[in-house]
Amino acid sequence: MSNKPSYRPHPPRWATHFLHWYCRPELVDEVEGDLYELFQRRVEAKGLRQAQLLYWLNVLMFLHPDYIRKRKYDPINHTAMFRNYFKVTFRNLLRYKLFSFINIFGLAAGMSICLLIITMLAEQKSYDQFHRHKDRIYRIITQPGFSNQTASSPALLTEALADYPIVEKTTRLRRGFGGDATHNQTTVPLIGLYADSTLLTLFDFPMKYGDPEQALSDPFSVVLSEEMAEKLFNEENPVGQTISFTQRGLGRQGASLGAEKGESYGDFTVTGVLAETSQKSHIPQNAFVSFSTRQALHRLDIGKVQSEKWSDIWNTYTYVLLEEKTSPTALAEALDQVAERAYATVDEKNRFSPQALTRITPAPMMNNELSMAMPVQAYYFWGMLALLIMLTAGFNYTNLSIARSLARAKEVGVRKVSGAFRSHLFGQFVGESVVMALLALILSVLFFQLLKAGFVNLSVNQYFHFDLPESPALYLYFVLFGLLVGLLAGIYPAVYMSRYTPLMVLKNFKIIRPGGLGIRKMMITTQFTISLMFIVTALIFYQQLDQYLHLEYGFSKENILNVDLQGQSYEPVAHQLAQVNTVETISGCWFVPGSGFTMGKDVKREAEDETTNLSYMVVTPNYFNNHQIPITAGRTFTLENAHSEVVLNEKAVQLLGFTHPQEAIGTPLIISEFGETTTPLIVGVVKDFQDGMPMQEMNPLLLHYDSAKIKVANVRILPTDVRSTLADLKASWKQVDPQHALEASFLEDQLNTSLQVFVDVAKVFGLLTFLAISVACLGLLGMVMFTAESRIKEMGVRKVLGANVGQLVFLLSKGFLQLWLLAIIIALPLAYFGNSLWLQNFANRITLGPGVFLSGTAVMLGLGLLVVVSQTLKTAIRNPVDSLRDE
Amino acid sequence: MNQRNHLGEFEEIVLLTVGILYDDAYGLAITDEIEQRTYRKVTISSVHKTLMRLEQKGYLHSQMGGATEERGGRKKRLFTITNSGKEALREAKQMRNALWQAVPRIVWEGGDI
Repeated sequence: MSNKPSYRPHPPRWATHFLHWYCRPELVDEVEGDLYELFQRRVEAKGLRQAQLLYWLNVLMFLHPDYIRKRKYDPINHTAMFRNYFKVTFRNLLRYKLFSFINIFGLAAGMSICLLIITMLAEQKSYDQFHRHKDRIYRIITQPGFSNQTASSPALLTEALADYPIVEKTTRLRRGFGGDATHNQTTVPLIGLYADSTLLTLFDFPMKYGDPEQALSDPFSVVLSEEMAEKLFNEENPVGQTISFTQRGLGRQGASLGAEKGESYGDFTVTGVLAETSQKSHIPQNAFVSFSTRQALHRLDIGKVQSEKWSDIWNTYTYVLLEEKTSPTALAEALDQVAERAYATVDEKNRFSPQALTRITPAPMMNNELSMAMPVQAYYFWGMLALLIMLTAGFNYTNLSIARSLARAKEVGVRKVSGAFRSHLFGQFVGESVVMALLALILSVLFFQLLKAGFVNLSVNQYFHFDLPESPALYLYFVLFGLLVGLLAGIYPAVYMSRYTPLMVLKNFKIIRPGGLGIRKMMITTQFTISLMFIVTALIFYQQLDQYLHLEYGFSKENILNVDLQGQSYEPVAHQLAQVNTVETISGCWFVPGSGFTMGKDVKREAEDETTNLSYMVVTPNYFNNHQIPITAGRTFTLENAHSEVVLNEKAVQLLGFTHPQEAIGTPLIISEFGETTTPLIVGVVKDFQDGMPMQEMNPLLLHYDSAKIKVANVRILPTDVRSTLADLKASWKQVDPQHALEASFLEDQLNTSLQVFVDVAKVFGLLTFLAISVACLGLLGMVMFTAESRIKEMGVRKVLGANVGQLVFLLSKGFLQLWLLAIIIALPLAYFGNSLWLQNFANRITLGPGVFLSGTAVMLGLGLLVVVSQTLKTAIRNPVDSLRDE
Repeated sequence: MNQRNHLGEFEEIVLLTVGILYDDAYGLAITDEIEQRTYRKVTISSVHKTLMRLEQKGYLHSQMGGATEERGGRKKRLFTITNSGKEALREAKQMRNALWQAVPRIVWEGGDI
């Protein structure tokens, strides 16, 4: 035997690993042994490099079906093992009840919000799904030269498109039909849309009575909704019967401009009734009136119905049904051609583009939609917030699982010794988290029901009409979502725990600390950063809302009842209402300030000046007095010279270059519009007041008196016994307009309504904040309990050595305090910047003072300390004898 | 005689070599022996595969044998010829002899036909 050195060169490791990987276990030894012998020989004969190369070659040449190991799993394993896995999973859930609860609750909280958003999206996507031809129907939207896209289009578009063979059918919907419908002494308000005869065949609105092909062909035909038909005709079939209609301008979009005085359009024949259906559509279905009626009205010179123009892109909605197998790009091209021809001679060029019917809801932000809906961007925003909460919950799960991993390490070791592969263990742990996620899903469905009830009752929902129906398909989505959550949450802990080997377990893993400590700390910090940002933002929100609710408008808003004139003249109504003895004063205006509606006028001082744009309001001379708006210079209008007098507010005065309000009195202004020029005199200047919504800056104002434009009477009443005053007013009104009921609301209420959206958002945000904090605190609770428990012995020893309770508590809490500090440092600046961003867009905003940030931090620290100290105290108080005795 | 698969040429060589090395017939040794005696280059993998095939056909019997330090502590698989292996070899030899004898002398010794 030659004396060989104790160190022997090794054949290439990777080659050997490869061999072990593919080769059948029973053959590995002999092959490897032979190759090893060969290798050693070659090293001596040809050198290391050659030997290694040849070794690799040899290994590769053994790749032969006879030598490759069969990779089939042992089928016997699975069924029996599943039962075991289930048992173990549930035992674990029950054994660590608190941890399980924390996980399930946290996940459920986050999931319930996601469920809400999923349901909302599902409902929106279900709109207009019931039309047969839905895949071929496109709405034409218009891009005007100067502003955002609008959902409407010119009424002449369908005519222009009729020549194109790709277009099978078109239909239009047009606004402008709203007033009183009368049948046999019953009068109800009716708001409908003009519609082409093709409407009911292009779309598939189910009809209870009537023929969809014919119903809207003849002029003066109307198809009613089942609800409207019942109101007018009770239970009878109204087809063939007539209703008389008086147009009153109801249903115009924008702030309530008040109804006009009625103009009778004559008798309409009911040609159909739409069946009540739970199917939703973006098209409101109160009533459809045949489009041909418009030409008839135009010929009969009724109702100021003008012929259609290409410049009117605001009132009609055009829908196109494409021929089969036509692509929308062909339609887009056709539209481009039409637009070129139509606008060839004008400067204002509009562009048209097709929008697929199925894309109308959920809606991208667009002007002038047929019905209000939440824009898609809002979903992204709320979805992101929901995701943040889910993230927090997911972190909880990961953190707690890893923290407990030591306890499971023994199990992993034993399983591996008994023959489990790492992949089995991975599957087991992921399975556990999926089970937990599904349990959380069940709980979250319960939460979801509560959320649903709350959401549907938000006042914003009267515009969005969310019913949030639940369907089997929806539950399927829920389950899929739950599975996804379980998978994602479980991957990291599963990878981590399946890594344990029996060797580590036997060595008693003092060496193996629950690693990934860095990651867990990062997760806790992130949770608290998110929570802190939520808290601070919520506080800022509430502060801002409070500010708006108590905003100083600059006019008196108490005790003023705004009465909608409904087309009546101001003078007689004011005179009549003044008869009621609890009425103090009455003034009139065109629209209510603070409602968001604005008009503007361009004025100049000298002919050669640039025009200045001022906001424009029409009010009666006693308006300022009635609303206690101080007049700082000059006087209010006189009734006689009204058409040549204007009043400005201080901002307007400044804008026009006057140094002092007094200077402006007596100066003429030049106003040119619609080809006419007037030169009224400035007779007075008033103090600025909030003319727009609280979120907007006060505008420079031009005020004017024009009796024709007054639509609202501002009735100041004595604050005592409002109820009887209202009754008196109602009776008084009947003297003027016996047909219609009194329409009135308090100015205060009207102003608050415009804030309604804010209030709702605040509610939702508050809820989210609450959830985020709860989840974070629960997670913290779990972590603290775990850390405290694992350091019982240490605490016991320290106590024996003389530490007092305070020191121990501090010691245990130290780690968390550091993390909170980090969270504060990250979150506060972020919160500051984030909130400043959206606040910039709002006038009358709060200044971001330290108060909010301090309170937010205090809340978070307070809660956190509560959790931490309560647990650490428990450990610190323990009798060291007990802690050290237990094994 | 049974109609079994006939022994291939290489299979025959391998089988005979197992006989030669009757005491210590394992993959590498067989490969070395073949290379020495037949002056051919044979790869160890082809020898191993052939050994496995022969064992599947029932001509060889194998058992795991001693591990040595040269082999890094791995056992070797030792082959011995089974009875049916011996049968097959004898048959092959007989057939060859018969063919040899059937060739007329003139082929070996040349000359005109």
